[in-house]
Amino acid sequence: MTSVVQDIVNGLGLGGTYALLALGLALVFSILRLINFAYGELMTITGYILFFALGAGLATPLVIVLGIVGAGVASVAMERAVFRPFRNADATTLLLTSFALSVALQTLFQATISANAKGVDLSFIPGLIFIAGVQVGGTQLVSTVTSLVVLVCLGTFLMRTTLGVSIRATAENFHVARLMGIRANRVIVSSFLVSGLLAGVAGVLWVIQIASVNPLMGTTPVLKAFVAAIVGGLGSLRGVVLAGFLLGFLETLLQTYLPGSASGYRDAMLWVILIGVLLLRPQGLFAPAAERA
Amino acid sequence: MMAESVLGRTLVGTVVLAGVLIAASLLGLAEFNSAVVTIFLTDVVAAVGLAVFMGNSGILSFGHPAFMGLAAYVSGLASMNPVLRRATLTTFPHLLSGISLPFWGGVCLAIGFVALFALTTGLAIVRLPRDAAAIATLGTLVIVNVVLVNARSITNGSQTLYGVALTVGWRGALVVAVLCVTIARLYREASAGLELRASREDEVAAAALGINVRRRRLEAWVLSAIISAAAGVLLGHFLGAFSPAQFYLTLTITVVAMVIVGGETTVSGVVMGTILVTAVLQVLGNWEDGASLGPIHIPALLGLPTLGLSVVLVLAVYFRRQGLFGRQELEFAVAGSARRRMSRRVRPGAREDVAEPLVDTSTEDVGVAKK
Repeated sequence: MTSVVQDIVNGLGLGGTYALLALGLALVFSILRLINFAYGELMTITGYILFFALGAGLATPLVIVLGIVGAGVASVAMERAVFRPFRNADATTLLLTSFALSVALQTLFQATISANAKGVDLSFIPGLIFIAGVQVGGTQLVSTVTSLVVLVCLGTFLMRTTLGVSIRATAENFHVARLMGIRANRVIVSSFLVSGLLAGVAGVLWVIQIASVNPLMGTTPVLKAFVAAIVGGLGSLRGVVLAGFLLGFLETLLQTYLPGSASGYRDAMLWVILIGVLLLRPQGLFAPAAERA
Repeated sequence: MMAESVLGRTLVGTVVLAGVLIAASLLGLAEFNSAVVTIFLTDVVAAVGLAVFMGNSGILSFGHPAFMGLAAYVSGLASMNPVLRRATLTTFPHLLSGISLPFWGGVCLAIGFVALFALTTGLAIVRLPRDAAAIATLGTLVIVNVVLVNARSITNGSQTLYGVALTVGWRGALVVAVLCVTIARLYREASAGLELRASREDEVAAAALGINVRRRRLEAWVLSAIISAAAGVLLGHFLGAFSPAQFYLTLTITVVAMVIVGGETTVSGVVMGTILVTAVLQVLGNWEDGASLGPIHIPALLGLPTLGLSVVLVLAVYFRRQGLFGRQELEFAVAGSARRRMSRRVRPGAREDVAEPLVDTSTEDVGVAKK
């Protein structure tokens, strides 16, 4: 019984992080058909902001806010500097550009900061929390709650606010949205900002979990987020969130129940599952029925 | 199969490219050293391998370094001195410890293994639409990397595997490079290659013509995997020691840059792109510890070559997406411009005040990709 509750919380915590990342990826993809390889580097930027801000002696809440906002700013900068010139390019070109950007950023971090991990101590969360008499990891619980809260807020933003509805409209049909009077640049910049903030939150949660930051830390979670986003169906934001949680659960289950020697192959198995899903349903599991080509 | 004149032209083109490779190698030996030249030739093979799939099918692939890595490990382990192998890999499985092949046996085993792996993964990948296929190739790269890192008893995990036989030098690499360039050129102009290139331009129209797009893509995937495997074998047996990280993202962006900068649709493009990128990497490598160019001082920057490579890739994609030789093979570009010049000079009865015909009929572009 204990382990089931723990597994659920762990799965939700990890799944929440993946859901946030997958959502950020899908948001940008749905408007620009751009798969942003450099998305993981936004998490790394958050991590380094946390590191330097803590080093400067700032208070923890301020540090976290700075980290999240910093990721949003970096995301907008990426759009302005690197992706805007390629606004009308084909998908392959965009993939190449974002891949090059990702590698460039990783190299820059290694060169200008350090190739080694730097410790980040955000230990304001108690190690273990009791729920209904069951011990649960504190950081996992915080991760779960934070992800759910952020997702609900984002949902409200996308459904109720003008800007949110504009983003959804643009994602559905770019040209008709513009004909309706929606300012394309504003929507694109906003979606990059939102996706950057999501990466920032995910970055903070990730850094809390691993208590350190290193130049390559963005690669692994963002690859998993790709899996989630594609399995969920990149056009459907809800599907992507669901897929993120599914992936988190799957990974947690594999982690718990795989024998020790095989646990390293967990990531390979996830990718095999992805390719399997793509074979059966190339548009993703939850993609909306009417999909543009 | 292939029109006579096309075959003739292809062979001429191949000879031209072989000449370019030989010239570049000799220049490299004079300017740098044989290690640089060998790595350069290995990169040529790797880039040609990638382009055979990516250039002809139009599907971006991140997965080819996986084939290189697999081939390097299989060949390296199969032909490693068993005593040395037992010493380095203390938990090497008993079932495999009997395998000790001569160099060429190991090579054949590696290429066969990679071809089989490519066939398996290819069956899945060719069914996917383009975007999904590109991500699936990334998945192949990740899966192979995870397996190499975790199969510690066989591969020494993420640590370096030592003791691979040092059987490759620049001459051997040159022979393999010329061979692969020939194969790539012949494939490109053969009916299978032409059909695949048609599907790159317009998948629906090609299918409507009766082209079996999936089968052509699978053929290209397996052929490109075999060539990449050759590159992996060359690299492995030249370095003598390697780790899975060498066949991951850095190698991917290097090879992709070489293909894109030169032009993914033509073999000449790939060769020239590799020469250009190798030159850039050499220069940046020298500047990695800081350099002064007259009044400008460049600070020491670890990883400058990789950084420079990403910048070059983005610039190439922005300014000239089709690459240096994206439209035509080398010999067409040269012959075409020569013919244009000749036809303007010698035109019996041509009047000076009459405008040139709108359609330029003076060049013969066979198999040109319109971009």
